[in-house]
Amino acid sequence: MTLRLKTNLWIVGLLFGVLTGLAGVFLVGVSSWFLAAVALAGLGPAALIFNFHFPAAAVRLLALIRTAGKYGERVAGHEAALQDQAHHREELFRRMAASKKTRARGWQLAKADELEAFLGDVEADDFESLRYSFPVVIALIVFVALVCVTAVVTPLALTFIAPSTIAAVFISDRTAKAAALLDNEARLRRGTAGRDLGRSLTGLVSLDAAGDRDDALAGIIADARKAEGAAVTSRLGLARGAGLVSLFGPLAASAVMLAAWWAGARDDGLLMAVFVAFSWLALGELVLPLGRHLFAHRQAQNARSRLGLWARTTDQTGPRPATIPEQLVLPLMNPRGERLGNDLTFPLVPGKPVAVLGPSGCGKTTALKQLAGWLPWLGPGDHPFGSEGLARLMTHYSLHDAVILRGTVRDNLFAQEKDDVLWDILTIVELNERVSEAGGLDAIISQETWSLGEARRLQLARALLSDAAIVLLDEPGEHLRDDQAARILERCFDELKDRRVLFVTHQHVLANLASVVEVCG
Amino acid sequence: MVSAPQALLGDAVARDLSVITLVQSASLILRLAALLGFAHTVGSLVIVGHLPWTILIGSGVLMGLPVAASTASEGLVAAAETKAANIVLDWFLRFAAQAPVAEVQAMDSGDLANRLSRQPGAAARAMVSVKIGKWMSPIGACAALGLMAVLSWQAAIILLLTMPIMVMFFVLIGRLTKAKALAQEATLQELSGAFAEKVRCLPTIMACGASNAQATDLGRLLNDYRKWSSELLRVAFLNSAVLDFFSSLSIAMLAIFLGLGHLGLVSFPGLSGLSLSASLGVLVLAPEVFQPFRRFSELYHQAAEGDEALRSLEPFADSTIKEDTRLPLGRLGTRGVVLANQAVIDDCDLPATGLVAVTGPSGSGKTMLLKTLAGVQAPLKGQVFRANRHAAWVDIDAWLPTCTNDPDQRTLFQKLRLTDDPRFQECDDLSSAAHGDVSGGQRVRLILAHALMRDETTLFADEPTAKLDHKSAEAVRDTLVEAASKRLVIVATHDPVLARRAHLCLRLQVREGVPA
Repeated sequence: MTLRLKTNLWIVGLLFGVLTGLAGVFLVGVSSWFLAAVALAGLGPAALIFNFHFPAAAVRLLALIRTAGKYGERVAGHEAALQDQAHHREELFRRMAASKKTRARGWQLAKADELEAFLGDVEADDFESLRYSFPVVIALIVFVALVCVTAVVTPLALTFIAPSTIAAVFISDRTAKAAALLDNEARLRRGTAGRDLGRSLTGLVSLDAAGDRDDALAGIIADARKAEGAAVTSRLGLARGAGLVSLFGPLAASAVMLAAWWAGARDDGLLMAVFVAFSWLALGELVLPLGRHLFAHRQAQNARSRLGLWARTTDQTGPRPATIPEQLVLPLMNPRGERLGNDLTFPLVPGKPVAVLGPSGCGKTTALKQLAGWLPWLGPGDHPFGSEGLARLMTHYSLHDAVILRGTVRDNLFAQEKDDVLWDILTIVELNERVSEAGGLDAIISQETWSLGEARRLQLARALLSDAAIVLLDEPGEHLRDDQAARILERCFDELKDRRVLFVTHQHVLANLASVVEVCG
Repeated sequence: MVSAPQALLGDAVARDLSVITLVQSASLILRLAALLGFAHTVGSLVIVGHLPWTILIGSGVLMGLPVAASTASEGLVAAAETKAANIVLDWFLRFAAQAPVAEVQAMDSGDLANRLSRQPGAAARAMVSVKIGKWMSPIGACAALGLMAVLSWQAAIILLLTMPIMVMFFVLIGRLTKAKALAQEATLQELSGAFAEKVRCLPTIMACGASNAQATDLGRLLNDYRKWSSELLRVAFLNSAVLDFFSSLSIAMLAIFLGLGHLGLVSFPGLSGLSLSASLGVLVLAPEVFQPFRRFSELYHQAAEGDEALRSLEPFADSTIKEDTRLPLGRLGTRGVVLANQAVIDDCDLPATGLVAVTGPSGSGKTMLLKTLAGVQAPLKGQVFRANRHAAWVDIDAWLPTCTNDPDQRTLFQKLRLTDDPRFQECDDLSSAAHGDVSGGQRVRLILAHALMRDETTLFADEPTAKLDHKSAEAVRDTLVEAASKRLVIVATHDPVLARRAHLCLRLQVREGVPA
């Protein structure tokens, strides 16, 4: 069993939890013992000398401990879980930012459904301690305590309780395993259905025109039905498993009473057995959700293995080259690394922007990504900027599909410059009026409220504000009118005259603005 | 107020809910009876000193019965939830497969995919398990109180009297939590969404070299979130603390009163003079009176999620259905058609084969005319005639089927210069590349190749040569002209070379169409 209860708060929570568990179990046990004892005493003259103050006080004390302890357990447990969450998420974000998987392919997590599934995984991992380790450890400690008491009072009962425990754990584990498998199946099917639905909605006009719309969507919904079926069966299995495990408490309690009886205990001799039996009855409540805890554990394991794909990639960062080479050789490949054309060779020096002009599919974006250190370098020799890791430090890579972060305009510029500098840059990319309208640099903006053209210009502003020596622009004129794109780009080149600028485009009008034009395709 | 999805699903599962409630009530009563049976067994063993075998066997059977009943009821719940989820999926299907195309495409496809994976289940749980849970709470409390009343109605009354006090506490704490939550709602929501938002934007953040700064910022936001939510939880957990307090207190109180009664030290009517079996019975039933309230508060979040899902399903539950108003005259044509953008289309009859080009400036309605002829979109006015043959549609967004290793397709790939890229030389490679790393121009050519594989079709192509370099565009033109010898090919295009090669050219103008 992997336990991930490391922080002090978890220890505090565990103390509260164990105290609460013991108080809860023994409250029922002591109360029952008390009733049985006084009932026996009440039958004879002992009634008058029976000291009921002590057990009555114990009962009240246990009741108070159980109440206060439960509150402490909840607060400490959740606080510790939230601490874990903050820690996990920051760590995961850093890992993803350093992972080559993030750089290599189309970013799937920009899609609502993929992001939601990813967040489900992150949450399963965040709260594993709260949903699995924490309650299981508490139940285990209380269980062991009760086993010790039972070993003293009615050891014979353990011969029945031991196999019952094994059966309860076995049933919980099996049902959790089956439920996790089904849950995973539901997840996969939902993912497939979601992706297919997205694709078919994008191509809905073609499906409708061809009369294929009904069939295509019926197939997708059939997948979604199977997913729902698997999810329901998963929950059903867990519930049925819990139903069987609910027998554990009453059976263990009965075993204690019968074992004591069998061993010859009678009258007063049975009182301790009553205490132990009712304690087992109460412990049954702690054992009942074991299946759910184990299920949460398996879900977290599955989630972690999926999140494990975001492995930190350590680059071999060689020494920074003394000078940036003035002549560049750029390979033209498809994303799989197969050659699409001859290498391009051109000078890249400050103040002389280079355009790579070509149709879509000629390999120009892949070449730019290699130069930016986002894809492994497949050109001749070592990476021209030393290594991929260094290339990422030395270049600003302006994505053609950059997005807007929900936050202020200032946040979105990713720069620590003074306000007047930011406004100057916004003026260059013709966004100053738009930002004024929105409410200034500290106005909150989001993807939904800005057009693609505005997002493209914001991305150009980010490039102007970066201090990288090399600026790589992917389709800088996308989503802009030709005249506006040319106007803005010309001003950008002027602003970047002390830097090396390389851009790829399919627009002749923009390529003509460059000092050097390389044609591919 | 009951929303349409709630009403529709409610009707569909009404019978199931009644049956499940009955079975679960039976299971609950059997479980409580089993507890009483156990209390009776213990009482008999301690006081009477012997245990008839009949009682022992009876107790054993009593323990097994509620498990059997709950197993049955879980099966019924699963069946009812499956039924409800399938109804919701029927709505999704009807909307996606039959609603007007423009209406469906107005929705964000990622959001719709996300809803497809969450809402059927959430709605089904809200309509079945959550409802049953809500009904079973009072039933559970009443059953426990009722059985207790059989043993000692006074004890039951004492517990019943604690209820209003407990509920008063619930209301007070509920208000406090709500006030606190409302005051922090905006902050909490923003903080809780920060991680998702930064992950969504991660490539942009990385490209701007801001990963470290954003990670630090994220750490700060997550820490704030932790503080805010801990504060909120401290108040919210008081609710359960009240429940625990009353449940613990009732056990302690009853144990002491019943104990004093047994000793004969005090004489409370109904609490003294009970047999040990009866007082143990009262004791084990006491927490069962409070247990259902716990279940009720556990359902709160599920209920909120389900209600949200049900509300947002409203447009799907009664979506409009698209109708094909075209007349099946055997050949494509129009009479008095006015497009959705008000463009007037001159009457035309299109040939059975040949290349027809629809040209005109952006916004003149070229794509719209194609959609209208293809029956994807209805015209504002007028009549469209349709051919009795299948159609295929080519544009950059079109659905791309999986690849077949057909030799004819291979020839088409060569003709369309797709094989210039080594990935398209093998079909197996293609299927993996087909939806990911292909460029826009490659995608259009792939779609065209697939469309031409369908026999006997009218081919609609929207801007088939845009996004292509000269050589590829020429290959596409040649392919379209060749295809037009066997079928009708209608293209909407800005490409003057393609328009010149057409057998018929429909020239649209903004607002007014004058076929050439």
